[in-house]
Amino acid sequence: MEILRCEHVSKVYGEGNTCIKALDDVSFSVEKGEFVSIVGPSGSGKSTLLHILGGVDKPTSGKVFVEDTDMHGLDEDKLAIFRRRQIGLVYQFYNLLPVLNVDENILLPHLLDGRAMDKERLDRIVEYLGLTDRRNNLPNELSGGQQQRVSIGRALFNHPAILLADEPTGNLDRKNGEEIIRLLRESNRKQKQTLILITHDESIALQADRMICIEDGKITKDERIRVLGGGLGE
Amino acid sequence: MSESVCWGVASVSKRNIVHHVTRQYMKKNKRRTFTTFLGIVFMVMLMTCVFVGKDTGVAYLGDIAAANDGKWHAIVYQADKGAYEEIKDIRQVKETSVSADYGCTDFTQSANPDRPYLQVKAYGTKNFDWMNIELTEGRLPEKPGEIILNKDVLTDGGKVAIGDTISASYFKRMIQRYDTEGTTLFPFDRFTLEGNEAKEAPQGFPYYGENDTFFETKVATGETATYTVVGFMECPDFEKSGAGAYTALTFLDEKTALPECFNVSVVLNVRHAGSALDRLEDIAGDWTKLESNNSVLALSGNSSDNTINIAVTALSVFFIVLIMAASVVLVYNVFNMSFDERSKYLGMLSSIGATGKQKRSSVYYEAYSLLLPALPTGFFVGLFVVKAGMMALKPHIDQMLSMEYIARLSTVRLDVSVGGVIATILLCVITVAISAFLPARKISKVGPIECIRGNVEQKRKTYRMNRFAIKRFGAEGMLAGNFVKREKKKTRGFIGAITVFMVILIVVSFGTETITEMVDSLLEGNNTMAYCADFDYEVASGYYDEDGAIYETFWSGVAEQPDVERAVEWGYSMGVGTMSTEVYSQEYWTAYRTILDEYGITDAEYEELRRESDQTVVSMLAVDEETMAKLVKRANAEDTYDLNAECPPVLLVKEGELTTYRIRHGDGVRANYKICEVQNMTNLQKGEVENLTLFRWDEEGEYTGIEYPVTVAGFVDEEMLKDVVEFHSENLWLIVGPETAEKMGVAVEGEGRNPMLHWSGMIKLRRPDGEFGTYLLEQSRRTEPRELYVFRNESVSIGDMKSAINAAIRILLICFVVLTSVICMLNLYNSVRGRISGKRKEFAILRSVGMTERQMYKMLCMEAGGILFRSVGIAVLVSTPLILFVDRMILSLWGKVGVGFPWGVYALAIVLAAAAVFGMTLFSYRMEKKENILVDIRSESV
Repeated sequence: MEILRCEHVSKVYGEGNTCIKALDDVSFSVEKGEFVSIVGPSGSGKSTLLHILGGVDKPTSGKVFVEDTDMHGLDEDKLAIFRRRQIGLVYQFYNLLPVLNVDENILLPHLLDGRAMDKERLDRIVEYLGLTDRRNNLPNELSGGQQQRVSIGRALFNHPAILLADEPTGNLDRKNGEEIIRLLRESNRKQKQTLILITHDESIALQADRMICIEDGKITKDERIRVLGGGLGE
Repeated sequence: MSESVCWGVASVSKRNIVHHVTRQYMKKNKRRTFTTFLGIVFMVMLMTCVFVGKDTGVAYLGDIAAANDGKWHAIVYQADKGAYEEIKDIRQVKETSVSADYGCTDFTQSANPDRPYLQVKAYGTKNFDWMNIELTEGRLPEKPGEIILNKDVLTDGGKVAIGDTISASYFKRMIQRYDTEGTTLFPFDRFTLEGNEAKEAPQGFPYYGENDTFFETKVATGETATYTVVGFMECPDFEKSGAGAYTALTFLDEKTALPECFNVSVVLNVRHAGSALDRLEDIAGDWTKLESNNSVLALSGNSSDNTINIAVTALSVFFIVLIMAASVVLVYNVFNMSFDERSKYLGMLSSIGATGKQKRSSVYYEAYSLLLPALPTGFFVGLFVVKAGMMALKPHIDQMLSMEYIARLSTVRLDVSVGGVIATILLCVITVAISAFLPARKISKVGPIECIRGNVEQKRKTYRMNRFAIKRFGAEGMLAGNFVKREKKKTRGFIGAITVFMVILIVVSFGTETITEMVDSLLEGNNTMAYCADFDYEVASGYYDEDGAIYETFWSGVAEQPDVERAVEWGYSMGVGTMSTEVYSQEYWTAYRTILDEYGITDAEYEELRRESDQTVVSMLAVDEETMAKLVKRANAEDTYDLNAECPPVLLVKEGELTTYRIRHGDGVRANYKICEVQNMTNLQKGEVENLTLFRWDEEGEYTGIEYPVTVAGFVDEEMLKDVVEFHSENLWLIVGPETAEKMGVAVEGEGRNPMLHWSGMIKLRRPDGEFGTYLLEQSRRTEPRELYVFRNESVSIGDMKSAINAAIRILLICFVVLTSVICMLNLYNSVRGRISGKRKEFAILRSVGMTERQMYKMLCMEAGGILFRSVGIAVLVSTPLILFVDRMILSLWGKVGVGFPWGVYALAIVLAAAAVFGMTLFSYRMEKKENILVDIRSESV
C-alpha cells in the first residue's frame, strides 16, 4: 500500500544568475512499512528532499502526498496538525527543547494534539529507548546518543505514518550510531513503521529495503536491496 | 615566513587579540551588537533629556516670562548720572541700558479722535530688545532724531508714513474738575480728582474730550523736537488699552544726550540677583523707584526662597538617581541577554590561555566601543526628543500658564550648557561601567568547558513532569511554565525589566505627588484660602480703596454688564471671632505638638501653652445662597441646616493644615519647614451648639466680644469643597450662607453688611472675550498697587513668582514621569524582543513538531502571564518599602503631607505592565521575521 508519493518535486533557492536547483523533478513513492535509505554526496539535495517530505520546507513545484493528502496544499495550521500526527522527524542535531525533560520532550507532539497523557505508552517507549533513569533530566545533561534517543521517542510517540531521519548518526560515535540505527530498524520491523533515512554511511544505507541515490538534485538510482541474512540490527 | 604574514601577525598583536576577537564577534552578530548599541543610545538620550530637558523647560518658561514682561531684570526710575555710575559698579550687574520719558505731544496725523497724542519715550539700544519691541515695518531708531510709532496709528487710519516728519512740542496733560466740590474716581488709572484741583494725568490716561465733569489742559514743558518716522511697531505691552496717546519710541544716546533724570534698565547675573536687588534699592533710595521683573528672575533659576531652591535641586537629584538606576538595568539586561554567546567565544579564548582579566576586558571593551558612537547619537536623539517633547507640550504649558495670548513666542529654544554636556558624558560612562561590571565579573569566573558547552546558566538539577499543569493548562501551559521556571536567569532580566518599570512608575508617581503637595503647601505660604469656584474673575478692594467705596461703586454696575452671566459676592475673615480650644480634636493637638517640636519646645512649655490658650481664633467664609445650598446638600446637612433656628447654622471644615510658616514659637525664628495635615480638626458633633465669640472693634480700636452661639449643621471636607474653595489653614473654618452672615453683621454692627468680612465680587462671564471680559483681563495683568484688584480665576499669574515656580516644577515633574516611563517601556520592549529573538530556535522546533500559531500565541500569553505574576509580586515587595521610606523621610523632614497610600498607582502600574507585557510579547512575536522552519532551527540566538 502506497503511503507516500512524491510527484515532480523541484526546489530552487535564489533567483536569476544566483539560483541553485537543489531538487530537480524528483518523483518516487514509498510503500507502507518500507525502509528507504537516501544517499548521495554533500549538497546533492537529500536533506532538502527529506525536509520537504516532512512538511518543514516547501517545494518550488511538485506535490507530496502522504496517505493521499497533498501536504503542501494544506494551510499553515492544518499542516502543523498534519505534521504532529503523521510525520516523525529525527534531526542530526536532535533539536530537543532545552527546558523540557526527557518525558516532556517525548510527549510534546502528543500533548500538542490535545490528547490525554498515555502514561503506559510513555513508560514503554522510555524503557524501550533505555532512558528510564534519565527521564527527569534536561537535554543538556544527556549524552549525544541519549538526546538522539529522546528525539526518536518524540518522533515515534504519535504513531506517525512516516518516520523521517536526517543523518541521525552523523553527530554520534560508532557505538551510539549503531544503537540508534538498531532502534529505528526495530520500529520499522516490529511496528511496521515506514522509515526514510538519510545517511552518508553505506553500511547503514544497505540495511534498508530500498536505496535511493541522489546527485545534483536528481534521483540517479532507486533500487531494492537484496537482504543477505540478518542486518546489523538483528 | 613571508613578509605579508609577519605584517598581519604584528598588526593583530598590536591591537590586542582579545579585543580583536571581541570585535569580530560584534561584527558577526550584528543583531545583538545593534541591540546593545540601541540600549546605550537610549541611556545617553535619557541623560541628555534630563539635563537639556530641564534647562530647556526652565528656559522656555523664562522666555515666556520675558516675552510677557521683557528681558530686563530691574529698572531704577528717575536716576541721575551719579546713580547710573553706581549701578554700573555693582558686581552682579551684567548689562545696563537707559530710557527716558519725554512726555506727550500733539499728533496731528492721528485719525482717531480718542487718541490725539503721542507719548514719546527714548530708549538706549538694548532697551528695544529688552522691552520686546517688535517692528512691523521699517527699522529701529539709530539716532535721536528718528522715531518709530505704534502700528495702531495706521490701523486707525492715520496719515503718516516712513520718512514723514513729526514736530513735537512736549506738554503735560492736566485734568481738572469743573465743580469745586466732590470727587471723581478713575479706578483703573489710580487717579482721583478732588474739588477743582488740576492734576497731571498718568501715562496711558484716556482722552475724554469735552464732558460735563472735567476738562483737560496742556501745560507746555518747553521741550521741542523734530523726528523722522523710520518704522512702525507692534503695540508694546506696556501701552494701556484705551490710552489717549499712541506710543512712540526714539533713540536715547547715553553718551551725548543723557537727560538729567532717566531710567536705568538692568540685566543681572541671576545667580546673585538677590543681593544686587538690595543694592539697587539702596541706590534708588525708595522702593517705589525700583521695579524688579520677578517672574523672569525666578525662572532664570533664582529665587529668594532658599527652600524652593533646595526643593528643585532635590527634585533633580531624585530623578537623576532613578534614571541612572533604570539605565543600569537597561544596559545590564542587554549585556545579560547576550551572555550565552559571549560565554562561548570567551570560553574558547579561555581554553587557549586567556586570563580572567582579559575576559573582563572583553566585556568592557564592547561596552565602551559601543558607548563611543552611542554618545553623539544618543545626545542628538535626546536633543530631538527634548525639542519635539517641548513642542508637543508647548500648547499645554501655554494653556496652563494662561499664556496663549503671547503670540510672539512661537518656538522653543534648546538650552545646552557645557556643564550639562559634561554631566551627561560622565554619568553615561559611570552607568556603562556599573552595567558592564556584573557580566564582566561573572564571565571572568566561569571555566572554559562550561562556557563552550553553554551550560553556565544551568544547574545540575532534575525536573519532574508536572502532570497537574499539563492536565489543567495543556501543552501550552506546560511549555510556558517550564520556560519561566527552568530558564530562571534568562527570565530574571525580563522580570527585572517589568519590575523596574512598575517600581519606577509607582515610586515616581508617589514621589511626584508628594513633592507636588510639598511644593504646593510650601508655595502657598500664608495663602490660607483660595477660591476655586467656576467664576472667571474675582474683584476686590485694592490698595488705594481703604473704605471699600471704589469697590462698591464698581460692583453696583457689574450685574448690568451684558457679558456677565452670574455675579455674586463672597466674604471671608481669617479671624471672625473665637471659640473654646476644647473644640479641637486630639489629632489637632498631636499635629500642633509636632510643629512646636520644631522650635525645640519642652514638655513644661507645651503644657503651659495649653493651659494659657483656652480660646482659639476661628475663620469664616460667607458664600452666596446657591453655593451654600450645594454645600449643605453635599454635607448631608439638610436636616440640621435650619435658618430659623435660634442659633444660626454653620458648616465646619473638617481638615486643617499646620505648618511652621503659620505657627511660630519663641523668638519668632522660623524652624525648618514642616507641615502636618489634620483630617479631623474638631470633636464637635453634627447638631451641637457651640458658643462663638464674635469680634467687634470700636472706633478707638478697642475689642469687645459678642457671644453668638451657632449650630454645627454639618461638616465639609476637601472633596466637597473642591469646586468652591481650598483651605490651607491652621484655624477652624466656618462656612455660612448670606442670611447667617447678615445676622452676624447685625449682631456686631447693628445693621448693614458684616464688617468683619473682606468681600469679593465673583464674576462669571457669558463671553470672556467680550468687551467687559477683555477689560477685566487687562486689569488682572496689572501688578502694581491700585484701587481695585482683579484676579483671573483658574490661571497662574505669571507675575506671581511663586506660582510661576510652582507651574515650572509641575511641568518638570510631568516631563520626568513621562520620560522615565518611556525609558522603562523601552527597556521592557528590549527585554521582550530579546527574549522572543532568543527563542527563535525553540519556536521553530515547536512548529516542526506540530505546534499551530494559535497554540503558540496561547503559550506566549501564558508565559507572559506567569512572568507578570512574579514581577508584580516582586514590584510590590520592592515598591512598598521604598514608598514607606519616602513617606517616613518626608514625615521627618517636612511633616505629614496629605498623600495617602497610592493604591490607585499600584493598580495603574499593574494594568500598564500587563498591557505592555502582553502587547509587546505578541507584537514582538509578530515582528520576528518567520523564516523557513529549517532556517530558524539553524539560527543562532541573539
